Amino acid sequence: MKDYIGISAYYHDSSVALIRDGKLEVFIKEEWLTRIKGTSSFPFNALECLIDEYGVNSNTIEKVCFYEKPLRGWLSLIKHSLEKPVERWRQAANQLRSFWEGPIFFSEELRKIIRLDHDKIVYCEHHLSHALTGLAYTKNQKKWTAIILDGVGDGETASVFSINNNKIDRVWNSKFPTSIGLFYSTITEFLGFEVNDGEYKVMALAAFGEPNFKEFMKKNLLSFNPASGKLASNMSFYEFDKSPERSFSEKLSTQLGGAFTSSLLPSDKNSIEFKRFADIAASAQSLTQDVIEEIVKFSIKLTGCGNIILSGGVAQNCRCMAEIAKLEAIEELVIPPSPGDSGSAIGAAMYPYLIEEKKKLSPPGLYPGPTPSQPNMMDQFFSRHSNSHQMINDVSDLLQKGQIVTTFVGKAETGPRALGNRSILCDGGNIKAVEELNNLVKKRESFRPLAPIMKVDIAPKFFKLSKNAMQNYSWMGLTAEALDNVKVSHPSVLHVDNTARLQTVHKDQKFLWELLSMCEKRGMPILINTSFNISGDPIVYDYVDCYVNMYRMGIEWLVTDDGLYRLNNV
Amino acid sequence: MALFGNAIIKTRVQKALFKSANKPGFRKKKDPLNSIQETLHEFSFAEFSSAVEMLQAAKRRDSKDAKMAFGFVKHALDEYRHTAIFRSIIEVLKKQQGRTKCETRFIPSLTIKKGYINPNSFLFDKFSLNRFSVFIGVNEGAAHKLFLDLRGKLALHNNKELMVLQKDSIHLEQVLKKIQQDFDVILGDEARHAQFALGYARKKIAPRRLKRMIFFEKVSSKIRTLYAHQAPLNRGIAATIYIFVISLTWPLKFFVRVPDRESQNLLDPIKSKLML
Repeated sequence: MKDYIGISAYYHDSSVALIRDGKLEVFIKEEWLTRIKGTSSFPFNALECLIDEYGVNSNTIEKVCFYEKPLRGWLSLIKHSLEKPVERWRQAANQLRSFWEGPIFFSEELRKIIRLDHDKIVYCEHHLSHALTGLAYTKNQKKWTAIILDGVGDGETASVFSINNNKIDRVWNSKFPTSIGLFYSTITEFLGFEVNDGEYKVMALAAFGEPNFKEFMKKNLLSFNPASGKLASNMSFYEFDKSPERSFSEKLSTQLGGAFTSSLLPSDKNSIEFKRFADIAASAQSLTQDVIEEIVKFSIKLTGCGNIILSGGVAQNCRCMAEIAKLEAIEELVIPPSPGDSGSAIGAAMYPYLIEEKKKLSPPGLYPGPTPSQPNMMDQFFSRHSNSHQMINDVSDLLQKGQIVTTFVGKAETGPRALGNRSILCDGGNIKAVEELNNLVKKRESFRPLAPIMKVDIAPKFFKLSKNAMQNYSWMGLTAEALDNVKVSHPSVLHVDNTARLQTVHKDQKFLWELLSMCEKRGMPILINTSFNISGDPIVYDYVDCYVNMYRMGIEWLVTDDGLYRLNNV
Repeated sequence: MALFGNAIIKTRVQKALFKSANKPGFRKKKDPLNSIQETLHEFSFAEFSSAVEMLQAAKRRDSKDAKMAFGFVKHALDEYRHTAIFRSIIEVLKKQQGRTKCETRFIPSLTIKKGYINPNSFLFDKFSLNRFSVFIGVNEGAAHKLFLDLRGKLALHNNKELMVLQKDSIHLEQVLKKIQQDFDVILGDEARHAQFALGYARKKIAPRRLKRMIFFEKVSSKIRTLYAHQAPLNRGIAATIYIFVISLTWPLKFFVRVPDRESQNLLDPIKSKLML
């Protein structure tokens, strides 16, 4: 066995990826095991799982790779802080503290759990990790342009790579503090949401507003000049480079009419305050889209290659990605299922693999997560309702009756989005069921839509799909505009702007394909698919989590590989 | 797979745990209702971390004693419910106030940063089953006392701020009645948890030893609370030290240079070993 391990940690969403004998064997997020969403600590639990469940040991390991160059990242930020120490002392203090608690001592942390020779530990540039994650999901050996856009990594905020077989060159980059990711997270915090978690709420909220603040934002907060290839920001509107506690300055707060606080967000969609709330989101969304478009065009000019990999946290903005896919210059677009930091553990594992093996990885598939076995207390949790043969029929019966069901089948997904194996499903045509799922079960904000799931062959009957980005729909990589018939038949699967972040299902996804086929026969071609977790918790990892989450959400039905189960004691 | 034949060390980082929540801090006399919200906020983190600890205990105990493991799951569900109740009380109080001066956003990962939980060393991994049960028994008992205290502070006749709010709110009395009922549920659960845990300990541990263990846990709990109360002071001291260090390191900015990166052929085995 030849094992290559990639590790992402210390900032947010720690994770571990294992490449074994040329294929992605498993991907584990630390939060699945700790049950604390967004766990950023060193992934001891995930590594222990690799050791216990996958037989990883110091003999099987070829290389362990950390997903950034820790000293470079630290040095870049401390240097920036020391340039104006009076103004930025809080950030400098934070950096000094992180010297001891951060990734600089990565190898020592690692050696607490696996005794490895130092020459087996390597470091991959942060943006290169993102680029390689994207490369893992490409299906051929052709030339690619990888565009990486995130908050900051190794002191860089955006990069463009030219990839030609096993040769990778950097052709452009942008340095801290000017950053598309940090601009968006600043607005996220301004609107009262949590950074690194609330960005998708801003994206959803944007559809309710008009970009009335866009010109101001373009002039002051973020702009890109294609002639010089420079991103620019007026840093007096930001605080993130001065203090770790807040992203925006008082100056920005004054200009935009005051910041929102998390506990008193406007909920009445007809109020003036909600309009300002949504308009700011719409402006940020529209500006982000414009800047990404300009960078994509600029990158294609630099590399002469229209096959685009878009990765980094910003690529999780599926609404922007849908617009980018429409650019004529793009021949093919690949956005990996988990373009953020947690997914970049896959790229980190790929880095030493490519150096040593000099060949491409087998495509990882949608479900590289682990498959925990049934616990001894399974009988206390659930009663078996039907076996795996009868199950599809029974589940579609339940869905037709307006019931909500959960799934725990096969292996787990990588990304932030559940793709059917760890999902909550209901009939997309049943408005009452969809409302119940969104408001009562998941307790989400009223402005956030749910995602539809359907077979790939019928998707074009309902949505306008971008032909150059088809595979991304299988992991909800981008939104699509609905055709008129959906507005009538399935209004509740659509967002207010008539788009949806749909998932298309292929024949090799056996369970989902069979279920959707049966549902289609019964007049339910579109189901709703949302992640199997209660708000604020990570996606379920094992049967204990299934029970706990179902109990807390009040859901009765669980679909497993072994049959359909009903929760005891609801 | 023979795991013990190879060079794997499964030592885990042992960090200090500060599981007990701060006592209600009513030192900020200006706005006691905000202080109560801050205290409830801390309690919700403490309850959430207890839920996670119990869930981990259940998963680890399943293979040996499924009945006990299921008991841990039930306990975890209670703690999750308490977290939700505390969150809802905070929201209710904020709505009654109609304004907010304190930030009480619940971010689960803060349970780690605040020291309520150490994901690299859950209590069930760290303690023997006997010590775990004594720990739970003592801390649930302590939590019962704290919650009882807070329940009293949220009674209308005990709180001037609430009396002021009552003038503008016709529903306040009902709201407070509901809050008192919620507290009663929590108090009942905490008393039951303490009783179960200590009941188990009494069956398994000799009386004199148990007495010593309970005493030890109570002292540990007090020390943790004391340490948690020191946090602002510690932060002040740390800030002073950092300012001093920054002033010393400031001239380095003229000498420190982040080297330019190579742009060609990034899959280089030699560069892969560099941290810079």
